[in-house]
Amino acid sequence: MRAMPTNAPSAPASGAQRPAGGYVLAIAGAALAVVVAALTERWLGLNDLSLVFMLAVLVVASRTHTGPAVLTAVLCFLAYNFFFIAPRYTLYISAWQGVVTVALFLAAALLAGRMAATLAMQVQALRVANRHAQTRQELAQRLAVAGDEAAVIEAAHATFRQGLEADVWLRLDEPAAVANGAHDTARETVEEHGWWFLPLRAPHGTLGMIGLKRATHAPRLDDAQQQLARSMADGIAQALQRVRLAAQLQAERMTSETERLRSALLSSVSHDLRTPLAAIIGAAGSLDSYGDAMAAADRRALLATIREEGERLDRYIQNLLDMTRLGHGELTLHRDWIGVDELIGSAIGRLQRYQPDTRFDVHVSSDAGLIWVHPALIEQALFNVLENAAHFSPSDEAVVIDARRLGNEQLHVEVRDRGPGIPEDERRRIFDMFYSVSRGDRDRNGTGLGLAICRGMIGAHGGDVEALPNPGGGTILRLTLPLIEPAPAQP
Amino acid sequence: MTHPPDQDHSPSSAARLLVIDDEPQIRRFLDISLRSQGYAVLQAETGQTGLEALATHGADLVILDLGLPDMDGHAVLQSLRQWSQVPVIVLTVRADEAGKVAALDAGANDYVTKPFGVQELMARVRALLRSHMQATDAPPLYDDGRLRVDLARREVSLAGEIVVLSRKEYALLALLVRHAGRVVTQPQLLRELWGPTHQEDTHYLRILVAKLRQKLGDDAAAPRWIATEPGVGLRFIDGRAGF
Repeated sequence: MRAMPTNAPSAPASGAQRPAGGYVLAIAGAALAVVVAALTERWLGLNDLSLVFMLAVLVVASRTHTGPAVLTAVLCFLAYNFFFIAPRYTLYISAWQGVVTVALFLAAALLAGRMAATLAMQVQALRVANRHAQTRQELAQRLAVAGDEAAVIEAAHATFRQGLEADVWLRLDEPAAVANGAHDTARETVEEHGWWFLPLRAPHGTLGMIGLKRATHAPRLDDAQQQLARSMADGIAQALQRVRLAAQLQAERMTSETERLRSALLSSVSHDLRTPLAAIIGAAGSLDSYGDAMAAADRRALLATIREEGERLDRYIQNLLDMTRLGHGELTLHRDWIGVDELIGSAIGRLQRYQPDTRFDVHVSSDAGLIWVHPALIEQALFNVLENAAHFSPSDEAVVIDARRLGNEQLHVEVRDRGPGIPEDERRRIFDMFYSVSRGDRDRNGTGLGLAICRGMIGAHGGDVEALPNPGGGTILRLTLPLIEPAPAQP
Repeated sequence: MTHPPDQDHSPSSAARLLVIDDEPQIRRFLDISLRSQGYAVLQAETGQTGLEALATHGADLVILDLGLPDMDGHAVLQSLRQWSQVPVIVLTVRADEAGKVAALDAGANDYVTKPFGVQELMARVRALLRSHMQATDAPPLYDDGRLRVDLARREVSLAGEIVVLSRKEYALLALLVRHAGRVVTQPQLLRELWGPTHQEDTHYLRILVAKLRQKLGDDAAAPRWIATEPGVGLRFIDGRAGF
């Protein structure tokens, strides 16, 4: 069962043919015919004069519809009879001829009036169809560029208002409700106060409802407009499905990325915390139980293990903390002037405290000078890159550090090692979090966080880190920092 | 706390160190290590008992953990400084330069970042004890065999050659040498060199440090004397034997 709005018979909205106008035209046409006939009577025969009146009937009929056409026919016959057929100035018809003329006038009027009315309706229908097609096309265009639900709803509002002069009310069901089949929304309904509700139909149930209400002065929707509204509702439903699907895919991608990071974090925590702890507990236990029987060198080796592994744990925890700070966007920069050489010196000093054998070959160009950055963060970023380079560098090769300005805009700090190098397709990914872990690299220092943190800290300064092949073997890690200066000093 | 408990100790008697830390493991390892170096060690578990122990027994140096359960280490430092000039080393965590600077400006004499090596801590303790005792009677002279800074005659020489320093350069070097082995915070440097109204002139300070390093032939990337601790300040590396 379908409740439909009870529409009044449609009256064409654009109006050359309002009834009153038509009858006025009928009288005017007949009068004009009389005048023309009177003027041309001198040259035309009586029979030809009837054609003038016939022409008037046809013209009026083609401009109006049947009613005025018939009126014109009657008026013209009477005028013809009264003014021109003998005996003149009476309505008496003496001959057959007159009766035939009346019949012809009426027939012509009916035929032409009908044709004219049909033509007018066709033109009208064509105009409406054209406007509806435009509305549909406009909606399709708007929906095509709508990226999310809000944009779809916005497009629906705009197009319904413009195309159907209707207010729109949209209700979207939660996807779960759709799955359960919200039956009450599946049908069209008309409620009081002129609201007409259409379901937004999808292959598996409805997505929601769309309610239409025309402005109070406008007439109700006719069949064609209802048809248009339904097809627009279907278009909107399709667009909604599309954006929902896209959003769902995006969410799934994010979830799987988060899931991947979480499992990488868990495996990293369990591996990178446990391994040093195992070494510490083991070495301490050995010393405790068998220390008396050990050679002094062995005892020292075990003690060194405890200290080194403890330091490693400390660095790992620092990485986790740095990563959390970066991840939560809690990094506020406190910029200050500092020498590039000073930062490098501090990072090297800290690294050599636990890796005394690593050699560095430092070239700081004289123009590198002072930079305005958050000193401790850039130092940490440098430290992480140096640690990475020292880790991969053969022990007899120095790690080269080269710092110089690139114009007045940028500072480059390159850290070059003679390690195994990085395949091209991995050069960007080494800055991803837990990259070395996800690669299955169970290397001693491979927590897979250091370079990600470096990128985060340099990135917070508007800079970038990239990995390049080192000519002659190995890797260049290049830190690029934009040279920023503080606003002119306050007095 | 009416009687300032700082007592006079001759350099020969064992210096007495007060350790204020809530972690028993840390206290135990500090106790064992410090005693092995000939120091007498007092322990306190909380800020309150630490302050009481200092008032009652006195100490030559305090090692104070900034993260205490009962009261903030900064508060301990503040109330301690109201009646005592005993040197204080604070134990801090990394990634907290602001906290370090705040503690140092509130009267701490130096800091060590947890976790720390015991040798690092011992070096700080020795530097502080020495300079604290020097403050009264030791000759104002630094000489490590290469660099010689005579604070009394305002004379600096490098490998026997006199180095000509500007007034500010000398003032900076003298300030660092007087705190040899200890960190001097950036706010302190700015205050002492330019006065309290020039706390923003860090650009001048960096240029001054660079010039001083250049004249001393020191390299910031591999410092021999003047080391930068980013975000905190400068530390003069004491190159004399035994440091």
